[in-house]
Amino acid sequence: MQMDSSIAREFNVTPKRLRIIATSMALYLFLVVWPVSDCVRYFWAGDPGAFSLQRMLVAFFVALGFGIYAYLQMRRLTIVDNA
Amino acid sequence: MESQTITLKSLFGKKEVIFVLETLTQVLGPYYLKIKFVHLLFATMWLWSTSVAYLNYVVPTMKAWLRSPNSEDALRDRNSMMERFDHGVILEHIAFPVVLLSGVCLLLAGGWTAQSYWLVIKLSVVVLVFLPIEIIDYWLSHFGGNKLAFRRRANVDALASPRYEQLVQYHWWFLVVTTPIIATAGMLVVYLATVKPA
Repeated sequence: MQMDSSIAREFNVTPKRLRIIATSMALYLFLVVWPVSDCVRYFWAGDPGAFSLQRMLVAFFVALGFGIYAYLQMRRLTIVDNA
Repeated sequence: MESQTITLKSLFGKKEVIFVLETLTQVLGPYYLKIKFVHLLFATMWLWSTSVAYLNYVVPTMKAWLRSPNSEDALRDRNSMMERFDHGVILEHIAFPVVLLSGVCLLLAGGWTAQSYWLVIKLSVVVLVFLPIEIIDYWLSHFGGNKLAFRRRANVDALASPRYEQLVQYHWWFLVVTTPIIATAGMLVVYLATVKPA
């Protein structure tokens, strides 16, 4: 069968889109995963350190580091030079 | 009708649930290390079983297509590779439910609770990160997103079907987005499961 040349086959990726995805994932880590785990610790383990500033800073920097790593990794996988 | 409702309630009452959990804890307790062996074996199978194919076949083939998105040869290579990869993740997707099931058994056998911070972090990552990823992965690889099944069902040529192209691109987006997650969170859960930091 003939190849249909009318089908869009370019992978629609831009650095801006990757930055948005990486930022969303970092925010999910910081605003969903960390609060949920500290909620569990607070309500089921009575952890006095839950939601402490120290843990919040750790979660923030882990999320930030992950966001940067995710962006670089996704960029490496999708944006290629033609050389 | 009323008596049936009462029976159902009593089946799922708090006391009965606690009784079942305590019984399971007693029954599974002596097998803790055996269950741990199964858990780790399947966890590593789940984590690593596709890595060679992904790094050495999927990524190079996809990059060749990204360089020449309209090359018929690159597209045929890409489609053939993705159909094989759909099949290749079967091992990973057999391992995942075993990991979940053995994880629940370990929880019961070991009497672990939310007092262990490492466990709370691990379960948060499993439930909030890996579970959604795997649900999408199951769909892409074995159900509606399976490329070979779609091609056969719709009786179309891969290069002549916009939907086929869409499925491949969805799958590639999925792999791109989940690569950094698996690379970091995968290592994290194995570390937490083995080291169990306080």
